[in-house]
Amino acid sequence: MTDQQLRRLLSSSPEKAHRLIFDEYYNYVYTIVFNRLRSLGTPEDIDECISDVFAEIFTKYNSESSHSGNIKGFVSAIARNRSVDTFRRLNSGIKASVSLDADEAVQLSSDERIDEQAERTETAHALLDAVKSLGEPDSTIIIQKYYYGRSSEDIGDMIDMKPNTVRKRLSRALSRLRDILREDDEGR
Amino acid sequence: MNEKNEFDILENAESSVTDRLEAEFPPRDNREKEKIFRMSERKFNNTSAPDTEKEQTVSGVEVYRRPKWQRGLSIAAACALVVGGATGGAYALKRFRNTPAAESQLDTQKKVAPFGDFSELEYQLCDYNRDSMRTVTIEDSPEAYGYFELFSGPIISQQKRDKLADFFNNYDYEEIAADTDEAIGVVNEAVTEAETIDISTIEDAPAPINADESDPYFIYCRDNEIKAVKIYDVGEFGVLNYTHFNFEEQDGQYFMTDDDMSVEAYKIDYDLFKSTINEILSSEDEEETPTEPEYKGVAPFGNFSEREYFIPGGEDAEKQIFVKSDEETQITFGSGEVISAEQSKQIEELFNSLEWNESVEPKTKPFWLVGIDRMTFISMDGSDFNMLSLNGDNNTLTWDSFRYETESEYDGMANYKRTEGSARQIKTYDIDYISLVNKLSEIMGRDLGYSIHNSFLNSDWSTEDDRVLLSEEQKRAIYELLSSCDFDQASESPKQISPDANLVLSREENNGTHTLLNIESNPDSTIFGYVKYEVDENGQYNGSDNTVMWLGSCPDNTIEEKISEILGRSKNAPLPEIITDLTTNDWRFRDLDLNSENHLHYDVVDLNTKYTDGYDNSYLQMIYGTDSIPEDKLKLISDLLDSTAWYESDYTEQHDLLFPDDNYDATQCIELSMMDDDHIFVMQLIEGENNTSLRIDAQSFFEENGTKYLDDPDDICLEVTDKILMCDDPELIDNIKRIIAG
Repeated sequence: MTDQQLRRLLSSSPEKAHRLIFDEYYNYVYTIVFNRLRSLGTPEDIDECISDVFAEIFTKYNSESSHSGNIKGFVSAIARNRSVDTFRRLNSGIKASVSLDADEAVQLSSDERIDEQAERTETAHALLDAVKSLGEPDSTIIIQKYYYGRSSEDIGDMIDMKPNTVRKRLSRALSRLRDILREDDEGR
Repeated sequence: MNEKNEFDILENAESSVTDRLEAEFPPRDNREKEKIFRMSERKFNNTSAPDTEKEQTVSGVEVYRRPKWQRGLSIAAACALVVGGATGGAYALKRFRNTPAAESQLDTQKKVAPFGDFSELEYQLCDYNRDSMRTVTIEDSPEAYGYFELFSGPIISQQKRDKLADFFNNYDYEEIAADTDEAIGVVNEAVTEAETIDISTIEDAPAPINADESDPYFIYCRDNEIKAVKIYDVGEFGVLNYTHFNFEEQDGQYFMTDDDMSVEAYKIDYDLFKSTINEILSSEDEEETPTEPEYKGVAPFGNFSEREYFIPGGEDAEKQIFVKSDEETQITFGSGEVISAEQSKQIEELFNSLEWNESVEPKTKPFWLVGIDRMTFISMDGSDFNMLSLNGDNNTLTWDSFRYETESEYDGMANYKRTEGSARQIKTYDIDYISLVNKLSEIMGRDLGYSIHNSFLNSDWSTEDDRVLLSEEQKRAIYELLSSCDFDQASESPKQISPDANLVLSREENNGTHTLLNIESNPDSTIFGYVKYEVDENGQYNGSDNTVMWLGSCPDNTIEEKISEILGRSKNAPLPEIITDLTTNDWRFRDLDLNSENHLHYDVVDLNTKYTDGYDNSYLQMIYGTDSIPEDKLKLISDLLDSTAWYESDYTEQHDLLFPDDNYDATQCIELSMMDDDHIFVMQLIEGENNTSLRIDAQSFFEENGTKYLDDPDDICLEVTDKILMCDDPELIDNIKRIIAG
């Protein structure tokens, strides 16, 4: 669905349009928010933040708004801003949320040292590559467990496997992953 | 919060990493998704919709004064709610000002009642006596008692709903216009009356407004949508009140807002409505009482083409679908293409032509026949889940149906669950799986198959006696035959069973053991033995080490014969003409015991003509017996041969008694020979371990100087038949010898 079509739908049936936007970008927003709040926020904080993001999207992205073209970029900006916002609030213990506009957010990421960030990114991709090379279902099990922090029961539900089997696969997959990473390291 | 680990490196990452995470390792956390959506919507509404509040408070009618008697308002339906009688009227007054007539866009071709087509929407009848299912709170009501209770109620049969639809759709409704003072006055009066009566009984008093419980009250609830239709009499005219709204679920509680609700009211002929509805409802009840299932040409799960069924795909399907049918179980399948209307119609005809009986206790196949033979049709129309699963292992069709709602939907994945409170109906019917699947394959124009996981079909079976590998067609035919058997496993298996049944199929397992399927006819049943045994290094069974895996029977005594036919061993192979009546010729007898030279009476041979072949080392010898058999004995032998069940078997070397070699293991052999003017005929009977074979050779000869010579080998016509005849009677030769010995 294009931006234009979506805008038309927004004016005729806002709820339907909201649903569409939500379904389309839920994973995207979740990934961004989770990525930022992973080690600080509780699941409730994350849910709260995601719903803030969408409420903001719904509010700002309406049929009359002059926003042009790229919905994904728009969604991404709001998601990043909101999660940074939540991150700061949680970090500082401030309960009320303070809105950050886009300019501040840009500054925030530029705070970090460029070279350090580049190395981190490289390592992150290497890790993802290694996980990917485990093959399914192990890569899903590993990521869901250690990145998303899901329980074996939840993962079992996801991939239709008994929690016990998930646990068994998990320990095997983890040692395989470590082997792969070690080889990678030596190979460099 | 997550524990610290090496995956922290992924945190707070650049978009190149998060993009990758989203694409390759999506969170897949759908449980909270609906909740988050509702949270988002609420937050959005809180910030962006100040107008609605204003509108609510401005209303001149006291719509929020929902008295407590509403608590008792009963509703129908598995999950129904709702606004009762007079309250709807009050709502109507408010709504008329804001809501344009909803039915203006209705399809003009088909007349449909303003509250929808009863035949298409599963309206249910309110049962005031059922338990309350759930409560829907009116979220923005300033009054604490702003809520509705949902009650369960009986489902109205499709037939009934069709009849009701006929009536409702064709009635000329007159909407009670908002600006009709008279109407407002009348409705208001009724409302006031209701409130004054009922408020007096406030505290937990059960529903005086429902005093007239005989007024039919219909509820439709699907997903989060409620439609309620109630008629009542306000004195001067009848009113049909139609309430429609959506509710939301949050943390196990149900909410709606006043703004979500639309209420319409129509003038109706109250008496006509009430009597017609009651007549339809009660008349049908009588029709529904017959206990014996009579399908009248319609399959119990309805006409197949009326639902859009698809054949679910596998893991590589475009979309993976998960349907939680209850707490414990989840039906998982891939999306599939909806079956075309034409094929759907053909399948419907096929299903409707069958006789459907509910399975009492489906017979399961013995383990050695079990495949994972399934064939499934699923239809999901947005509200009803219907699954027809054909099970090849117990020859049943299971119809599983319930209402469902969406939990979450993504690209490539969708989660649904059974609507809370909706009944799940599972019925199982007997079918003939294979014949049905074959017919369905024909209709669908592709092999819907049943052999993928089938170990019986995927093994190399051969006949144990002559080691002939069964063809795919033969295996399939035998499998289909056995699948139709009504097996009964013997309660106690004998410890030892030797592979000595008349018909034995065998296969070699990967680990070197052999598996035998013994099939043996009894007068009133067929006995099956499934045996594993070890062979020694030479491939010989040592007679001791075997395990009976399964022993049982089926009441059909023709299985062995049918399998023999499949194997080309038809038991009624005709005898060659030359031996149909032995008494017409001078047949002579010779006993050949291959183990004893003495029994080969070369010294009395009448015809012993040799020839050399191109290699100078072969010869053909036909021996004419010396002992003529008397006619009475020939008659007995002829009758015996005639009454024996013969089947044809391919010629193999071991049957070639003309050149018996050392490996030949026949225990005994006899020859009957006969000569006419220019031919000699020799019939050989050879006894095997479990059978006897019969072969006839003919050879032309010429006579020179009183000596007979066989014709040139190039001209000889060897066998009269090109097949060996076999019978499963190893005693045949003994019986013939006994006849000859007198």
